[in-house]
Amino acid sequence: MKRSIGAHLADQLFGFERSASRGDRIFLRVFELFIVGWTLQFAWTWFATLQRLEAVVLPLGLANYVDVSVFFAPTPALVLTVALTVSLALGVFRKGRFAYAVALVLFHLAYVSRYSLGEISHGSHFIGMAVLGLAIGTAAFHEHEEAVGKFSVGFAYFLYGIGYTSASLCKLIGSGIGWPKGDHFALWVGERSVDVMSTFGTFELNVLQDFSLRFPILGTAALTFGLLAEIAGVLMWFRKLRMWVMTALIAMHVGVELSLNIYFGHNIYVLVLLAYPWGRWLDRFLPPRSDA
Amino acid sequence: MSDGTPNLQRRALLTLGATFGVYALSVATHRGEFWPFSIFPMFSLAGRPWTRALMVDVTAYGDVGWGPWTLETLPGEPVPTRSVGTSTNDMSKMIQLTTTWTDERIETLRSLWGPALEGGRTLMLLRADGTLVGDAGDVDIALTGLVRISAVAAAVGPAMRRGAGA
Repeated sequence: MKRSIGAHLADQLFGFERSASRGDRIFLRVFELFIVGWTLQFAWTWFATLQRLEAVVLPLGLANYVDVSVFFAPTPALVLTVALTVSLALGVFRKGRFAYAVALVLFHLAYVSRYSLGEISHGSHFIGMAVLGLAIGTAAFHEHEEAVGKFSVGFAYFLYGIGYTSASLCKLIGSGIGWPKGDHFALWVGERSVDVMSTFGTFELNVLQDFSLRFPILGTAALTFGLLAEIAGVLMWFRKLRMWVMTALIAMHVGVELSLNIYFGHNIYVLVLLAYPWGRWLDRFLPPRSDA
Repeated sequence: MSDGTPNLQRRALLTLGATFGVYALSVATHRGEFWPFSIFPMFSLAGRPWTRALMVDVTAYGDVGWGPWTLETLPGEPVPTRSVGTSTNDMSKMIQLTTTWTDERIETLRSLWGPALEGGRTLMLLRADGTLVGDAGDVDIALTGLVRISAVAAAVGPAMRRGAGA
């Protein structure tokens, strides 16, 4: 029977009709717990920073419509962070269909308050997208526990794929086909020399940066690889290509860390979690279950 | 799990479609950024001049003026953002978005750099402007003083304006 494109996409992303092994079910729950853990890490780190802010320099998201400077005071910041923590806990224990949805809104408020100085953090976007998947999953599939996990993971593939491909399109629209030129890489190394000095008080070129500045073709090659990996982002929607596309993206992030000293830690961690068949690998170590 | 699979798929596809619509609408109406949605424009403007921030301790150097300097001729020792638990990106974005240093923004600076101002120290916030020079991939970095702050006083450089209120 011929399937529609939608049904094919749903199968690739979610695999609802495929029975989940014990390893798969453990993985789905572990993925959820990692996302909740990273959300808590962000929330409590931001709680400490919020109290040092005085001004909203750039209103982001809901901060365009509500005054988030109220969260710069200790008590409201604490209430926000505790409420987020409680709603995440309710979500984990499936106490309330909309607990993760509430957590997402509170996470958004914490984010737009924390980053009201103008700079943004892309790591928390990745974690936020996964929380959105959990919010929709628990709200829309609450009667099918296994479907909640499968939806959340498939939803993450969907949004991460769009995100990476969107990033590559921004580069091509913003700078054209010449984006990967080696002298562009040199300019970014210069920018990072100031940032690293600002963060740590000192900066020295590492071997990779030194070679890439001396031989611009190396910078061009590195940038070309990164651009191609991002363009291919949406291909992670497809099961057979997923591991390869996501491994290329992990390599790109590691390359960015080595060449430009920018560590996209949460992106790397989430990609490592989602790129490989951890459930199937886990099954090999689980003892056979007795049906008696 | 096979029971009701078409129904699950239909629901999942509907939510994907709705999410994609909200994604597109929210980033289109909020300059590409409505967390957790973003168009992820980082590094999209290749080869364009950039502006970053650097804080230096000028306590021991008296009146050093407002520059310009290079990374090799800084008017004081760099003060790491890490040492005061603040963020380099926050500082850079703050100077990119600030043309008038109001009392509120200067207080934000004091709050972010509080521990480094103890003991009567004076810090100067520098703006680093980077550009490509010529065709050989050489990079020129010029640093200009924006604001000098201590725990009790603040002065704004000629490249900036000082304003009252928020």
